Amino acid sequence: MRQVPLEAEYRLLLGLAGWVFLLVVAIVVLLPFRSEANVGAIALAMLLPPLVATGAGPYPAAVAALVSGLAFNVFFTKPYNSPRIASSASVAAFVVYLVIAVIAAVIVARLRESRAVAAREAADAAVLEAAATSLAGAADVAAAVRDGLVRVAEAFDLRGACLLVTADGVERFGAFAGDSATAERHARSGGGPTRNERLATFQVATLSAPLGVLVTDSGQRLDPDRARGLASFAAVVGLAVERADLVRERAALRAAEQRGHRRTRLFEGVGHDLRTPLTAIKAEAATLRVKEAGHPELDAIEAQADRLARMVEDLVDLSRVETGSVEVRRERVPVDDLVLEALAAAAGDPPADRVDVDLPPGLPALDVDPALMRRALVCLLRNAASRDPGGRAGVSIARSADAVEIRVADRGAALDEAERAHAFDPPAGRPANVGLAVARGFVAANGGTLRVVPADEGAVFSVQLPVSHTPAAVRT
Amino acid sequence: MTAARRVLVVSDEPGILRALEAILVAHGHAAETAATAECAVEATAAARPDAVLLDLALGGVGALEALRRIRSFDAALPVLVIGGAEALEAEALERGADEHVSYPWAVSQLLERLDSMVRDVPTKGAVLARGDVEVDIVGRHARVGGRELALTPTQFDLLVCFAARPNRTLTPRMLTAGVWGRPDAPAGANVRVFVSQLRRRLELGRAAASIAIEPGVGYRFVPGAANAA
Repeated sequence: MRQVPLEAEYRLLLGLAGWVFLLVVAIVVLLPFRSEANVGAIALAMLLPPLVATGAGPYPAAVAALVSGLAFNVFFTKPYNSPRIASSASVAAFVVYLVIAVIAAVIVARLRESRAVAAREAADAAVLEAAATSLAGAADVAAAVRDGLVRVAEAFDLRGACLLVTADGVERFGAFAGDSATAERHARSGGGPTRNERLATFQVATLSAPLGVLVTDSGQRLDPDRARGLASFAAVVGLAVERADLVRERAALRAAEQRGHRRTRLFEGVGHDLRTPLTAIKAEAATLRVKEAGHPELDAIEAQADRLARMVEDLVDLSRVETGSVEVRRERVPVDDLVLEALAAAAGDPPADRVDVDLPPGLPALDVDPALMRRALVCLLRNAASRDPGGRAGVSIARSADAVEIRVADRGAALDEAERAHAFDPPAGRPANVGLAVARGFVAANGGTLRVVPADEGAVFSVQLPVSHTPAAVRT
Repeated sequence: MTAARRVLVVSDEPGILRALEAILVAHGHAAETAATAECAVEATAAARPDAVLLDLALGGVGALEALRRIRSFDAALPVLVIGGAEALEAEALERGADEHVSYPWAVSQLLERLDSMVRDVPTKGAVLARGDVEVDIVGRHARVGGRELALTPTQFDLLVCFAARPNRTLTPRMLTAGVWGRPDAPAGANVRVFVSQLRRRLELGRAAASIAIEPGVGYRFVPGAANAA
């Protein structure tokens, strides 16, 4: 596929042949009219042959203009049929002719050439655009890259090209076009500068990381415009590979999410199924206690059954938080209701009389899911009571213009900075953290934040919830 | 010790059925059992028990359908529903159950509610006396220990709802229907907010009566000092 040079030689021959033909015709036709008076008109007519030669390029056109000038001098300036020039007027005519002919020939040739370059660039751009379009929509990015590289290599008149895409040092796929042996050898050695001027290396990269190299073997020094085109092709390949990766990752993420939802449903089902036998165990223990008084073991059985039930509940909720399957059903609920509900729902763990509650008057109502907030507060109360030496917890509430802060505090060991930072981490052997992770997840689902605030004594967990400014309840 | 009653226990879970039966018998009641909704309806019609304990986790046509059929021929029979999902408990109360116990219920709570439910006879008359709270429905006055309790009209209507059914769990929808005569509050009004206001008024009036919260289900008006949460 060596069409372009053939075309250039053809244009050179055609231009020169046209020029010679026109020059001979002009001389033959104009000879009968040659005279001192006609020399200006003849000079104009003699400009025509060199312009035809411009098709062969600027240098052939300049040579043609010079030769045409000499012919003009020999045939149309006195003394005729001799290269000598007799009069100063003839000298002027000859010089003017020569200058005009050369300038005109060169300008026209340049114009032709730039038009040809523009046409080639447009063709290159069309090829790159087609490759980019097919890459952007490709399901199989490797096949699209191979196809695109072959088409670009053909259009850019490359001898060969090799594109290698790697991930973590392992080759993911390669694309080859034409006689790619040399390019491939260079690509496998990592590309980069080389003494071989025919070879050029382009980086294939995502926005953040290198992905591979494109090495082209152009048979000659690569045209700068085409080098830019190849660089943009390499960039498009990088984006396409990244896009394909993102699509795949998203599909994997969605699959994981669905697995998570299934797991949560399974947990919820198991939690429900466990509830029945646990209730039965509790009831049996209570029955026994009525029949035969004085067995502290029965209290232990009930307490452990309750504890097991709470652990199951915590795990179901943690699964909901971790898989993002928390459903929020917002309702307008007074803040004090939330706190009192939590105390009632704690069902004796901690007992309501071991919680110091400070509920100032005039607390607003919040738009939250009361069930989720109740669970979050119960988790915080249980965490506080489990840390406090007296099994106590304190709840206080503060409000600002657009938020309500519920603080749950204990008087256990103060938390240092590292402990505060990891307070909500998924638990490894510390059951209280399950509750804290659940609390944080549920508070976040309600649009609030839960954090540990530094305190001199004990731990202070702060729940911040936004106050919506929709019209408050009518006071009637 | 409370009076012996005949109680029908309905659950399709043998463990629950057996345990509840044992608890009731241990506390001096007589217990019958039914494992399906159909059996429960038949047993209610035939044996006329004093109360029904209905497990909301009942399979088949389900506990709510059993409740509907029982209510179709006996509107006054006390029915206590046992912990399902919170929303289901609230629905059962709205559809005519008298009381509920939520999971994890304690035996003492179950017996207490069974007892107050059977004993409860709504007071007819112009003045409802509940512990130290007196509600004059006609004169629209509320008094705590003889002192006037200042309430807004809506707070008063709410207190009437509570005082009419003391020691009973009332869902927000039931209270809304009681105050505004329809299941949805007017725009901008929220029964929870009014309950919260009424609770605070009772506290400020130093009433022994209080409004306790049944998490996720509703509220309960508790006369007397024993149940202040």
